[in-house]
Amino acid sequence: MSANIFDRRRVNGPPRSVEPLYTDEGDVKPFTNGGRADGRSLDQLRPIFIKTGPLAVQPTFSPTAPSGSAYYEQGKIRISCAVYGPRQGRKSNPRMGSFDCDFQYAPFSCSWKRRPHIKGADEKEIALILEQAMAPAIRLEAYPKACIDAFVTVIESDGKFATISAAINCISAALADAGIELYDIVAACSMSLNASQWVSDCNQAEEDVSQCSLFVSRMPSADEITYLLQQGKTMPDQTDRAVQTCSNSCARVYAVLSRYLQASMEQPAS
Amino acid sequence: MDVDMESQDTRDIASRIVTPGSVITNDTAFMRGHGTFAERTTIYSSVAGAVERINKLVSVRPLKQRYSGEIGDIIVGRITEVASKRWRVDVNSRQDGILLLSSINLPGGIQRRKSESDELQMRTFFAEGDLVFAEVQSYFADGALSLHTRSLQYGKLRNGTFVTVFPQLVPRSRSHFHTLPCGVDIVLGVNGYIWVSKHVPASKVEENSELIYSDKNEFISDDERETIARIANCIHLLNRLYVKITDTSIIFAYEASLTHAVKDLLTREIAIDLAHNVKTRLEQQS
Amino acid sequence: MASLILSPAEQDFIIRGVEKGFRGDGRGSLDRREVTLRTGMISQANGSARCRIGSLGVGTDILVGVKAEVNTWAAGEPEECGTIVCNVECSPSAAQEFEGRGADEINVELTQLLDRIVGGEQSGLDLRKLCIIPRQAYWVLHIDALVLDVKGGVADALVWATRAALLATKLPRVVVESVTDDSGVARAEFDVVDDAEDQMGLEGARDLPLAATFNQIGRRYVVDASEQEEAVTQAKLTVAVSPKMEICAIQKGGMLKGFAPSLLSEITQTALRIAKEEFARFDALFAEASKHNGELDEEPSTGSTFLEPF
Repeated sequence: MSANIFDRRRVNGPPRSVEPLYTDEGDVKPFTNGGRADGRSLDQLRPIFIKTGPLAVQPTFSPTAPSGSAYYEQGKIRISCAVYGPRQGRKSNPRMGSFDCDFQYAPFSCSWKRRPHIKGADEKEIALILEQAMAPAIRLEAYPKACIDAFVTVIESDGKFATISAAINCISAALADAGIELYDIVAACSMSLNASQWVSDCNQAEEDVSQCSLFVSRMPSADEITYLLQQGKTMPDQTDRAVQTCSNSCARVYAVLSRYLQASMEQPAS
Repeated sequence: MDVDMESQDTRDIASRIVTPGSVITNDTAFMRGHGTFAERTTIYSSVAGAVERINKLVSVRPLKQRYSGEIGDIIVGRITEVASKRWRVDVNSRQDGILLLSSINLPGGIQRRKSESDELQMRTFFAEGDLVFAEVQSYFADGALSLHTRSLQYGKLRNGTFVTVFPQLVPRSRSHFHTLPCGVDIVLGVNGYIWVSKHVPASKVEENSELIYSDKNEFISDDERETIARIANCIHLLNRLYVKITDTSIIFAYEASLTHAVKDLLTREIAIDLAHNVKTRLEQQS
Repeated sequence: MASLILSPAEQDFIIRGVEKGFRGDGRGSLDRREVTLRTGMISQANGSARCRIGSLGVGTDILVGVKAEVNTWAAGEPEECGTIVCNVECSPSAAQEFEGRGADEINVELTQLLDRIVGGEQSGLDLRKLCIIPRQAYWVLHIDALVLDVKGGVADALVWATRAALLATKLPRVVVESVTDDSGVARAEFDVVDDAEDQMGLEGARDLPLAATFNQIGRRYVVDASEQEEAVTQAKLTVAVSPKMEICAIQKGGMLKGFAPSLLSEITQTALRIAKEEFARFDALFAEASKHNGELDEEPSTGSTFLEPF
């Protein structure tokens, strides 16, 4: 239910409006008879599509254009990321550059309710998570006194943890597109625990009925886990197994990312 | 607000506790010092503290006050900014201190003239975050302290750990660099910044004038680490229990602490006990 | 976090010390500093606690107040449960950089962390017991934390203080009656009993988790990092464990580095291993705090919000 915030800068709707509630649950349950509603196996990821380069094609190189950008799809998740930098930093640290992330859901992106334009606490937290997941991969010592900014916009979201993982993958592609020096590409993947089974890459409906969700972001060449977040209760061995499986899934995502980046190098004009 | 003035006897004035606005004396024979202000012939206190009198000079010393530098003070400071031909140094005072490029020793001999490349490479000497052992040389027009490190004992601090204490617990004395019998060097900055480090013989420092700005620590053995931790904890507890911090009090605290594990020094009962022990010994001594 | 700048020599001293098993204050790598716990100092709140983790009476200091309010159910909300709302704020008295909007980022981070650990079913609290009348009214527990001082290890102190506050929370009893109005329709109505003696604790509060943060310094890791240790931390992992040895949440922090997978699972195992001692320590402190609570009523001259010097 959204009590609409009055925003002087925007055209405001009526002061109070609510999303409709469906009286029946619908026939499609996320998990039926050990199978998933969309027919995937338990460890199958949704198909990934990536394209680097701006969403709106710019005819000539513009000095105000982002240094790098990427568009990422995973199932119904659609994310776009723009990277600016390295450029003059506000907090100038003479030893290392700084990396800042901005994360925002588009108002129409989430299944549960329309999001107001003002950033919520969860968007701010996700921005922090993205910073902490990506910063270890960037060679910040190579850019003293400079700052690198990544702006992530979620056009459509499907599963909170899956969206965060997708955002990480998208930023990786955008950083590579910008030519920023990286130790490795960061690949991320999420899982949820349902009826004592770990299911990879869950969409919103599956996450809602799961008792625990987890995502891992990883640099496969360096074999370093740059971020780990678990929400919900598990027994300790369950977490261990999940981290293992998730790391393997990350390796598969990594393969897709690398293959795409290589292909895009070979055909720069497309 | 008037505090009851019983007599003009000078013995009554000192060691009285006063609050801001209390009358200290009406006697024109006295001069006013820090912590006071005068209106016509009356001297009032401007802070809450104890009245001190040295001959004809009356001042009020508050319990807590920011360090304000005097010329000749030995201090420890942290570099906060590298500017053109100078460094800004945090000295725990109301303004940052300034360390001019012309006030430091350049590697390759004290008498080496500074060159243009030195100006461009100031970070090879001191960079942001470095700790420097310096002396207050003079004031700038706005009251900022001007520091210098023009003696071999001064310069960049290494091989140890940093401790902060209340500045008023570090009395001014002849020497602020001590080598303790347990084999640890300490630098007691009058501004409340203290450095505890492994003992490095003075001769070694003089040999390697090229390395005076090195960031590399020497090898520190396990025993030395434990002693450094022990001394640091002793200083922390002396600070917390408001005991004057001098090489003597630190040595007393160290000796009393030997019966306890290093980490236990920071627990309530043991800390109070040790501080009491040190205070007693200090009183006996004087 | 409030950032301390250290010189390369100081950083090297700390890192090598930790790698050899020596911390700056002589603690072992899994040793927590002194913990002081007090409960019940805020009479207006349904539950409150203050936790200080540090040495010599100076440390990370967090005050948590729990206030329960009744909310009217609206369509779309869970029908038979209450909810928990968390909020963390850092006071400017903790550090200069927290004045104005300086604390925004860290407030968000800590709020989300606390919410992840205690903001729902995973906290162990029985949310169904917080329902007053299904589809009509339920309790909302507002957990508000105020960070008074930061000396390293904020996440741990926050969770310890929150657990203590929730364990000390007393909800007034509610009487539900069926009322038939003039047109013959039966409705349920409730009354909150205003009797300080007639209050109940929260169901499931004993299952609340505690958190431990592991900071990686060099090749080793330490628990309950001091300010200086945090300044040289490359990466940290906060693990919340319940008394039943379940993992309630894991969150990584730190911008400089990632973890090797083997280190990650080692840290999780260590978290479980030290959990028993942590709970034992907490329980002892909480019991003493509750005892102390009763004594304070006779001494109104002592500010009960203030902890002793030590």
